[in-house]
Amino acid sequence: MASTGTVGDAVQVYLSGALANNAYQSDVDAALGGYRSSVRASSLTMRRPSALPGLTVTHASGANGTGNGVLTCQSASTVSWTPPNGTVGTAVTIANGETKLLIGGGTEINKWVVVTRTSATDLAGVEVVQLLDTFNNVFGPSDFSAAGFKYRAVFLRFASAVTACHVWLDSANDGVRALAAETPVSNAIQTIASESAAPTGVSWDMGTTEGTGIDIGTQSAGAIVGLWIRHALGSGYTASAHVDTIIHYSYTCAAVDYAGQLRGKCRYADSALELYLLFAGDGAEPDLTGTADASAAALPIELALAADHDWWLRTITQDAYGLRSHTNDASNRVIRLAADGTQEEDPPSAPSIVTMSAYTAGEVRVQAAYYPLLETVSADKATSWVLYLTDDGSTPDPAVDDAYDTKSMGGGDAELLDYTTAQGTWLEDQVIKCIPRTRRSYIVGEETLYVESTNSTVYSATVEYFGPARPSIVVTHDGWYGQDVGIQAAPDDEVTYVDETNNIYWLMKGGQTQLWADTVLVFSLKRDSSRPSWSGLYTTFAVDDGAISGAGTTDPIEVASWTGGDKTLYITVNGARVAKIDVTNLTITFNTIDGAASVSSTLSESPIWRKYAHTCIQVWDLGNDTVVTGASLTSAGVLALADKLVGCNTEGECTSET
Amino acid sequence: MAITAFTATRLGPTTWRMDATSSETTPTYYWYVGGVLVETSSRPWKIVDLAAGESLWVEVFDDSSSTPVPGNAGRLIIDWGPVSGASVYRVYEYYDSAWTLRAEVPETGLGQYEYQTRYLENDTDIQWRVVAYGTNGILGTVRQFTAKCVRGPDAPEVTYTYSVVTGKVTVS
Repeated sequence: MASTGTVGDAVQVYLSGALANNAYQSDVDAALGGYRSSVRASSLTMRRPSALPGLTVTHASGANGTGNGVLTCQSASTVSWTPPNGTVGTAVTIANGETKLLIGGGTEINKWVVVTRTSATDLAGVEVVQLLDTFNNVFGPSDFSAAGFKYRAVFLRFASAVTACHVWLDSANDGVRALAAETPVSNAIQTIASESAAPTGVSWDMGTTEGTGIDIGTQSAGAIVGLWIRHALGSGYTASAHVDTIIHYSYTCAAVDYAGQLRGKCRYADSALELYLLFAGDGAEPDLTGTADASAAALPIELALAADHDWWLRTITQDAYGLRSHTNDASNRVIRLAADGTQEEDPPSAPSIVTMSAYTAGEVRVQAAYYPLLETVSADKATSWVLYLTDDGSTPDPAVDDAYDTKSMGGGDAELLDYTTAQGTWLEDQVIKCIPRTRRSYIVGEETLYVESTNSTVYSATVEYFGPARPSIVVTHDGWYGQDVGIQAAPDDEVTYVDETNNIYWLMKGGQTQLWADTVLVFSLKRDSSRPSWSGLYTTFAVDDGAISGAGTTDPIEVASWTGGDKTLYITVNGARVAKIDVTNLTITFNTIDGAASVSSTLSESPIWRKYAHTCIQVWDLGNDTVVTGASLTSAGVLALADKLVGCNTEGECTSET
Repeated sequence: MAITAFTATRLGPTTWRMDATSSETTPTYYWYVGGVLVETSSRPWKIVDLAAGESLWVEVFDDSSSTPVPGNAGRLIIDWGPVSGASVYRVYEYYDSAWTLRAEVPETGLGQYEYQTRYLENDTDIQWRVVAYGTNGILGTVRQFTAKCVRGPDAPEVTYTYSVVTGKVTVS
């Protein structure tokens, strides 16, 4: 069971700079000779994210290297150490208040930690100890900002007698570092005035092997030797944010050979490297690790660009250590030059996951997604949505059509479009077609221009106005009694004016919808699905077929003339005349009366309802207590009836309930 | 043992989800963010939030011995051991010409405590203080130090202007 100061810890390294031998001095930058401090010089920083309670780790040998070691409580009072990438060491018993050396297993005798138990509570658990190289400790001095020398001094203290002790530099330090031993006089070595003042009378050694390093020889227990470390940075040095110093040492103790490491890090800064760097890639991302196409310590930077190329421009910053920034949207740009040197723009990506559907009464809804992150070039991302839309059955053509509407994007990572048109813009069954696109604005001179995605897929939706049919209901008082709530009341002589001035109106009642031209009944549409023989279009007018055409009004019943000698009405479909009602001569003329045609139905409860390609006449069906379509006309003037056409001699026959 | 797949999915402007799979039957994942071991668990995914301008730098291993490639961290982790009589530890940063309280870490009997700083300015010395607040209501002795992160500079915000006349782009 090893104690500190033995085996792999027989040679201990301490800071210098103390006012007396073994006095406290912890400032690594003050380790400039003089007496040995009581503070050990640490190579590795020990980070303990989940430290075991009751244990402190005060030192780790540099030979552990960096990585994750593991402290394992093997019992209530024993702990083992597993070095990074190593094997589990022998469990060591530690009593409360004791400090012990925990050594790695197998041949890893140089990999150890010093652990102190601080509690009598039973030890338990496993802990990962992260071992990290250390910036600006005594082995890696303060950072360099210019060429020059820096010196530090430490003491080797031989806690046990050793033989064949050697100290040398790692090969990675070749030509940059140097070591010198100094034998203390009265426990002290010389003190230098500053970190850049060279110690005198010492012999510098730059050997990078045990054989070419410093031979410390045999040392008795308790002896000390000063060790100077020189960091030399010549002009023309290479700046770096990570410069390692690794010093090796070896010795024999109790006939066993040991080897240790002293480690540290520092940085080399060069203010001349603090630059803005402009890279230009010809049609591709430029290599940001190479030489910049243009650079300057301050903006602006200019760079000539050849015409007829796409230039991917990236501006990054570089600090004094040669570290370069990443890029972002604010630092990236693609400039596309045509053969004549003028600037072009590439389109953004098309929207994805597009859906189009009928929405609430008379509206359509367009939904789409766009992901700016998926743009190969971030500068190509879109800034707004643009919708091309038709309502006449034709296909939208972004090349010639004006945009129906545009919407700005929010600038997020996922742009979602949820667009609804204005209510009532279109008629039932009207087919709306849409091409949604993304677009990006750019400025040329003082003019704002746009470049759009090139997608041409057409989406469509049919306008709807009505939801499902009226539900039939049953009402009860909990589960005890039923409640008669009757049936849905039929319209009770409800009047809807076509032209109130001239007293032209619709009259709706249960089973009948009548069109009145002042005091003249034009027709009565009757409907009782339980009495098909009674149902039909009843009129005293002569019904004829003949060509009816011409533009009408948007009202389904157009009052074309209402004078003493000419009282003419038209039934229109979407603004076109398809039937003529001559009230003066008591005739109705349809383009075509098709007894085999089916009515185009709607759920409207108005007496007449305009659809995109039909006009429907509605009637209360006594047989199922709801409004149905009793007759419809197509835009071509074809009359379809749900029931028969009945010619009557009198208005009384037309309106008879039986 | 080996990580067989490691993917990053961006969830938001500064949020990423990392997913890993392992050749181990019952793996333990060691998650490193910015070179710092932040989680050891059997969970094969991790959500990472970044500060503005911070780069995503996550590594995962399924063995304790593997360690991340040394990089340039933008945050410091300040660790300290417990001290007798402490009820809470306070971490201060000298920021904007004043000592600013950054964290209060309760003493809970752990063997070690730590605090991760904000994403720090590049190559800038910053002073920190850690002090224990005693159970007797008296502030303890201040531990003050200076440290800096050399993490690389931030990306610049620039504008590009191209002149058809000169055939040059100007970055300003």
